[in-house]
Amino acid sequence: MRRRPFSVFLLVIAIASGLVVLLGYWINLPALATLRDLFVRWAAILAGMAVLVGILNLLYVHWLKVSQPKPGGAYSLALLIAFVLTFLVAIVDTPTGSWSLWIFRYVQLPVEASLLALLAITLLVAVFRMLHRRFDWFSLVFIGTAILILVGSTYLPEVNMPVLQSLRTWLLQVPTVAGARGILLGIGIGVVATGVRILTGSDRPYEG
Amino acid sequence: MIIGLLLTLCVFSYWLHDNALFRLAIHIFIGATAAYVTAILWFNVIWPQVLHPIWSGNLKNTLLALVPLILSILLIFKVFPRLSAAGSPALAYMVGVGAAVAIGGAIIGTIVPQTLTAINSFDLQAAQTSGESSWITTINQGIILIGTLTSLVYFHFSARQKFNQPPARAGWIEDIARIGKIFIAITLGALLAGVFMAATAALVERLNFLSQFVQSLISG
Amino acid sequence: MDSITCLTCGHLNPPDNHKCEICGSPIETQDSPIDATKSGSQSPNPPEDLSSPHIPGEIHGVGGLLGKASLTPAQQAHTRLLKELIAGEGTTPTPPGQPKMRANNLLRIGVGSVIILLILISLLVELPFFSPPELSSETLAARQLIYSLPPGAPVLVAFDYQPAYIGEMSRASQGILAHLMAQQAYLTLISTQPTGPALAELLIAEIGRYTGSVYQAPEQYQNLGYLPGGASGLLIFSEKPHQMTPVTADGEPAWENSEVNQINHISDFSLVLVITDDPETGRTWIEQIGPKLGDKPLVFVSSAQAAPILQPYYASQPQQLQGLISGVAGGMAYQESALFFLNNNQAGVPWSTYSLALWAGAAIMILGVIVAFICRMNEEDSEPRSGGMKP
Repeated sequence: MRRRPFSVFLLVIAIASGLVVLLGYWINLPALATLRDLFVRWAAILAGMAVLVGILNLLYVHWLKVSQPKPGGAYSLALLIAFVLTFLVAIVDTPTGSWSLWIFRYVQLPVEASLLALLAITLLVAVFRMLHRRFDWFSLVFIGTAILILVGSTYLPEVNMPVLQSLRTWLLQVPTVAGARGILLGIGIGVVATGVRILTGSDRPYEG
Repeated sequence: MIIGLLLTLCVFSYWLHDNALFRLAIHIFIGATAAYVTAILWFNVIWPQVLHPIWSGNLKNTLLALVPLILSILLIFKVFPRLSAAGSPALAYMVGVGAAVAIGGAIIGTIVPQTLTAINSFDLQAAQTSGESSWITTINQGIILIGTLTSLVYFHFSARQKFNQPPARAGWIEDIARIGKIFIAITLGALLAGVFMAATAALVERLNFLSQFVQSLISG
Repeated sequence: MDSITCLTCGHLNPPDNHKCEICGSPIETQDSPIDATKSGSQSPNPPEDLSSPHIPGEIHGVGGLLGKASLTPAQQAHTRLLKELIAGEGTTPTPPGQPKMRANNLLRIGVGSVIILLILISLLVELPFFSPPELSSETLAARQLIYSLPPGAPVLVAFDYQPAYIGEMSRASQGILAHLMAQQAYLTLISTQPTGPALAELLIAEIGRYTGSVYQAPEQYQNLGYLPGGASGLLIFSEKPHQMTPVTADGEPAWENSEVNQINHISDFSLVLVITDDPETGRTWIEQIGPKLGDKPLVFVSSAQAAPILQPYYASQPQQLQGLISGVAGGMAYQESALFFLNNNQAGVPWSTYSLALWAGAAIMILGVIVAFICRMNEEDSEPRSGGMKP
């Protein structure tokens, strides 16, 4: 019972702020437009601060692993050292300074790009395993389309493949557009439904 | 460049087996990225949008900046489990505004234009001005319309439960969804090809980097 | 009579019910513990003593509360199940012995070896040679829009891709960015990702090195840095760009150059170019920025993985996207057609090696289909089934 007024308070905040922004799309009132712009701007700034909160949480978790000896504490120490060094450089040299960009180019880029590079091998293995477990019309159409697009994207000069390339172009411009449009409309309807549930109080992801 | 090479090799070692070098590389990467993002946040959000307006002495700017400052401080309480309820008002505000922006964008940016396209796509006059055969246009647009509708039906998950039977969609919905499944399979196949192409580009780029480093060592 | 609690879901059922109203589990209404004790009747199975000492953890506490209560057969069955479930708690399972190399490990190493060897050989020997890709209609449309820009035109360029995709996205966007710089457009760089500003600086510098015309800030471009808030940030940026991004990525005052100090709305830009790897990010830009642009063009450079989802926006009537360059192939086609030739070995991903890798991937997928078909035929031969493949 003690929790209930607080829940109502949260609900009022969510609905009031959301309605002001939503009405601003369709009702042309200068005062409403100003209020809407203010609310949206504050929300955008808050979203940036939320990223900072996430980083603070990350540091807190890894600090606990280092200060209270736990498995993986050495890795956490490496993380914290990397954080401190990079932060000092980026703050002094600014994020687009030469030293900051050096760290970005030779520490962050190689690791991220390498992780994505491994995905190429993982995807091929996943295709093998998928076909082994499930060999039906859906799988064949799925893989067949992928193969056609991969082969049709490249051009061997000695091998003239106009049919293959025309088929690839048609696949990308007709059935793929159809499926993608269905997916986009489905996403749009889902977004509206979820948003309405939040603005009517049926969904309250901010509690707890 | 040597650091980039070493980190690349550490990550690639995961291809053989999970190991300490891979984990070390990942932790260093996470630390560096988190620090860079924090610095960006300071220069682009915290100082110019929150602290500088308060520092500047302008009363209106100060008052306007106090709201995000207070909400941001409340949000920090979310890190501590016992005090996390204090951050809920800030979260509620973000969720409310975010939901409204998403609804507006979805309706104005996707649902209405894409639905109008499905209606306008049978404009044969436009096809003639573009030089395309009207028959080909009609057939292609018909396929797109059928594909769009059947794909939407495929994602319809309402079902009836009959006595002593598991819940199932109506028969006619199931038949239409089967057609939509083909279009979804083609679209997902195109996405798979796209993901593989992106990953392959990354693999080629990394191996190119490695080979250039080796070549530079050989050539001195 | 008292209500009866269902042991499966805990719901209170009327005393006359034989099955739980919620979960449908059977409920024993006769031989209930209290009734059996009071009436003296004996249940077919002797009731189990809940307070037996071998019950660990909380059951022990529950046993203490219930004392020596008698249980019905259903309750006994549920109690036995619960005991079995919690019996393993608190004990560390012994790890299995060192496993042999499993088939999927071999498969991963085998497939990886083939792909990596092919790529390395191709990088060293540059075999075979693949022709540049053809120009698609959406790439041609983008190129024509850039040609129509007057010198000094303010162009907004969004770097909204993850650093992991730098290999593909730099190749995809180098052509159009070099073209913009050749047209002497004033570039305003922005990103809704925190790592975007760094990617922007690296790419602008790289293009300057390869084309020989190095762009300088703030005379020729400004880097507005990170735009927080995703869709919310884009919405407010489209209407009040100065307010939302008052400083550059380095904290210096922005919007001071003459080409951009008159920009008060997103539609004041001559063109908006978004470089992205993610279909969701692309969708957000189109939904929030697109309706505000009016007659000003919106062009995308997208990763090959995002292009299928963004294609309907290009194909829409009226068009929501006026140009779309997709992946390495699209970028290569743009470069070749706009006569911006960047040295093949220095412009990121070499086209021939990339094409060979795609062919190798396609060949491995075809091999997967053949192997799966053979395995399925062997299974059907050893155990005859009715019907063919599943629909």
